[in-house]
Amino acid sequence: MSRLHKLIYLAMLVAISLVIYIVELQLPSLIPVPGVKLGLANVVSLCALLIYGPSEAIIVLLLRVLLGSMLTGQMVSLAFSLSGGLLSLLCMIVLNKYFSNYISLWAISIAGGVCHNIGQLFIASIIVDTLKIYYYLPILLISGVITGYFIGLAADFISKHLKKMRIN
Amino acid sequence: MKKGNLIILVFIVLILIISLISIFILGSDATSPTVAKITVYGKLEKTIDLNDVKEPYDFEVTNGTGGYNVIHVEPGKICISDANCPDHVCVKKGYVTSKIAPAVCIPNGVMVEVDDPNAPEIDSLSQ
Repeated sequence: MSRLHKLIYLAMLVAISLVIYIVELQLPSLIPVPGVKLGLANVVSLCALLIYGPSEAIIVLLLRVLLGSMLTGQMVSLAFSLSGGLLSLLCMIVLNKYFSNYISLWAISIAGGVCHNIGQLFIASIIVDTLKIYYYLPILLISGVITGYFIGLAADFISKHLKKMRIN
Repeated sequence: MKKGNLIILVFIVLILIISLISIFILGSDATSPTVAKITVYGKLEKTIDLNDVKEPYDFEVTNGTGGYNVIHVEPGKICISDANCPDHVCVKKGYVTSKIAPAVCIPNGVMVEVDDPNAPEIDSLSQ
């Protein structure tokens, strides 16, 4: 497939993850905890990882984070999405590359989800300059596991179908 | 279940248990905290002794980049009652009653915490 084809497909993935990200931001936070974002847009980054590979996945993620904070207008959210998304994606890249024989996709995604929330807590603790914010770690761990599991399932289905469509 | 799956799950459960235990230990002393501190991006804005408050009042905290939070103080209690952040997590938190669970407005960098009087501040990151 030509570079142009690949560029177009990656651009579409970025657009899809942007839409998911923006819609998710409109959902009211159900839990009174700072930084609990469902992180649903990470489905797309995970799909990019499964279909293309680590570099493409990182590019899709960085573009979504950059454009997402430009479109929703907050510098703070850039730091959050970046640290959460990057930590989560790097963790999943490493686990996928070296351990995929020992770990199922849903477990990789759960690990990614947990890293996502830990990354967000980390940035929050730096911005507000306190360690007390780690009080919210237990509930963020649980939400990270749950969303990670569903993101893993979704990415599994989606990437299998996309591969059949031969977009790579 | 694959071996790696088990390791990941056990690891996560371990972190969960450790964090729950730490919260329980750190939060379990019976003294009730009465001194409230409001910080913006780590810088102390205001200290309020909640026992000295006779009548409820509100005041506004601005963070220098257009964000504001309204802090509501009454005798013995404090909370964030309004803010211009998008998610209002800080407002939904309600009254700040425990010294390990502050009300935090991350978009505006505002934190409202309560502590015991004379307690040394042990929970800050050094710059």
